Amino acid sequence: MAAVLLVELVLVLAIEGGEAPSPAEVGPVEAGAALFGPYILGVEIASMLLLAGLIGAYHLGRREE
Amino acid sequence: MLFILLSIEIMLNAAGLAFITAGARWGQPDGQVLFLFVLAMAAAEVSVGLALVLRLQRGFDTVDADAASEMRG
Repeated sequence: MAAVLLVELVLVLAIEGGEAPSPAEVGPVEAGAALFGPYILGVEIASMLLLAGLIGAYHLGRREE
Repeated sequence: MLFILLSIEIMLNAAGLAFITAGARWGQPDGQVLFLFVLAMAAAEVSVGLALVLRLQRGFDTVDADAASEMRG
């Protein structure tokens, strides 16, 4: 599987396709706007995941004989 | 077991670095957003993993993950 990934990496680096957006610095303002915009669903699900992790860690770490 | 958790953290950070590099290469904030999600998942996994380490210590008196290789009954 690593050989497949290596071959794909070499291919992607070799084929100089036309890239329209140029590499630029992405500040925290744009990242925050993206979080509140299209990725708001992921933020909510991540919060639920953290809540589930919190409750699970509390239950697993309880010292009650 | 602690080394297992450390290695998992290193691997997650490596993948996150690849995400951020890809995001910066095309000038889009999606790479940083994905890295934030990966980081949130790593935080939840670390908390559960450390609670499991505590359970292992209490049940088997060792942190070696191979000590818990058999099921009861």
